[in-house]
Amino acid sequence: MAVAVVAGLGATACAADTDQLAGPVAASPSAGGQPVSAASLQSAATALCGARQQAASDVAGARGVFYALAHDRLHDLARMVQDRDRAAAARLLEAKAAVERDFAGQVTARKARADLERLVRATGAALGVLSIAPPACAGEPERK
Amino acid sequence: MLVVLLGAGCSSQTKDDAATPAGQGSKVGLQAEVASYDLSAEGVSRFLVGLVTQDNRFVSYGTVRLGFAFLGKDRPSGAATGTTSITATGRYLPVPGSPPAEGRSGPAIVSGAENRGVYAAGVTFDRAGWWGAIVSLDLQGRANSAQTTFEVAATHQVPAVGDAALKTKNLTTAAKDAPKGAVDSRAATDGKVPDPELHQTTIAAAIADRRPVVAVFSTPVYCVSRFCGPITDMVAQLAGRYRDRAEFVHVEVWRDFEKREVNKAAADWLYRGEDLNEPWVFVIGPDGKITARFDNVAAEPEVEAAIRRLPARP
Repeated sequence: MAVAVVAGLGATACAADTDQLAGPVAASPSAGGQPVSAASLQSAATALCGARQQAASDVAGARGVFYALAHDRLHDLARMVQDRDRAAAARLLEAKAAVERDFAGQVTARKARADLERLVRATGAALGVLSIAPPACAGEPERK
Repeated sequence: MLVVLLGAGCSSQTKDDAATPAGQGSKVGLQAEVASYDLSAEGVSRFLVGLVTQDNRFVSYGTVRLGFAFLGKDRPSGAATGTTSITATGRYLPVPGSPPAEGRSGPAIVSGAENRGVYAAGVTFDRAGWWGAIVSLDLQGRANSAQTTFEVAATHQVPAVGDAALKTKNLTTAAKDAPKGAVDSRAATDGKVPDPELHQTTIAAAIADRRPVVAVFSTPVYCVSRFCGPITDMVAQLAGRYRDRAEFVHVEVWRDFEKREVNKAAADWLYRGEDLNEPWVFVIGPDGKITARFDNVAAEPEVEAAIRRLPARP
């Protein structure tokens, strides 16, 4: 059976500033109703590069960068990519899951860096599917 | 009565540099995202809403005020007006794996690293159709709010409390005709099923033996929802504590993510109208009927409470 799975955030979403709302506003969602800009996806990729670098000396700090600046955008990116290039979405999610497993337990700096490197590259490939230029750091070999 | 005007046109254009208007006129630009999977006009629905800032941080902790207005049978094509007819209090529900609140009492803006979750309330919608919700809260010392629209179906689409559980034969670690990744997506890359205790029996076999079941339907690796967390880990932890109360089963959604092939057990339970949402947790009593269900964000305390309501096994 071939079916599509969608994330369950199908409702439209808008902001309001008071209880007395003021008419329609336009949003630009492209991933499950949530607006996502190319810049924010690039920014997440850049943050991953930072986490990759930081993991060499500070795994906990790398974890913080990953969850604060990249994790949710990677979900958005996967959702946007999955209907265009299923394999790219799969590689992205698998790489992300490996990093999450690392950060959930005791991981060596070497392993964390290796898995972050894989995630940086998978993210760059996924951005390419959307014709979004990956940040320069995503194409660079890791600096030791 | 509060009159709400909801911009139903707030959906969809795909544009690389799409600008969000969330901050226009807002104290703090907030976006409300309905995170419920199966809202219906039957009984009490589990309404979940997440609040996200423009810069991708979360509103977490405390409570929010919820107001609901019926907008019409059809999806509004422009501004829609409704009168708030239902109110509720939304209580914060952290995504499993989030750190404990530690003294936080009211809503606060935090990064995804610090905490993430949704606000939950039991709501009885008296009509099917399109509804608007306004979420009001005190944030950083000021009143703030966000609105969203969503659809309420006439009847639930996914098996609900009181329904007979589907007697499905989910894959177990003994399956000979399926790759390990179809048993648990975490095994897709290294062939190791991390929670084998969740893959020892089928829902059908447990029901046949009149054993209660806690079933989590999830895809730990291939989840693309913003709010999915390590829900399978949470259920595995509960399995360690409540093995005497129920069989614990993890049903992996995907047989093959890349080929878009869904496991039959997951499809039977969740595939509706071209869509399949996950994760879900179902608690099934010894009579084979569903006693509780949790869509998307299921917090450990609420699932644990449902398990504790099951009769102890002899």
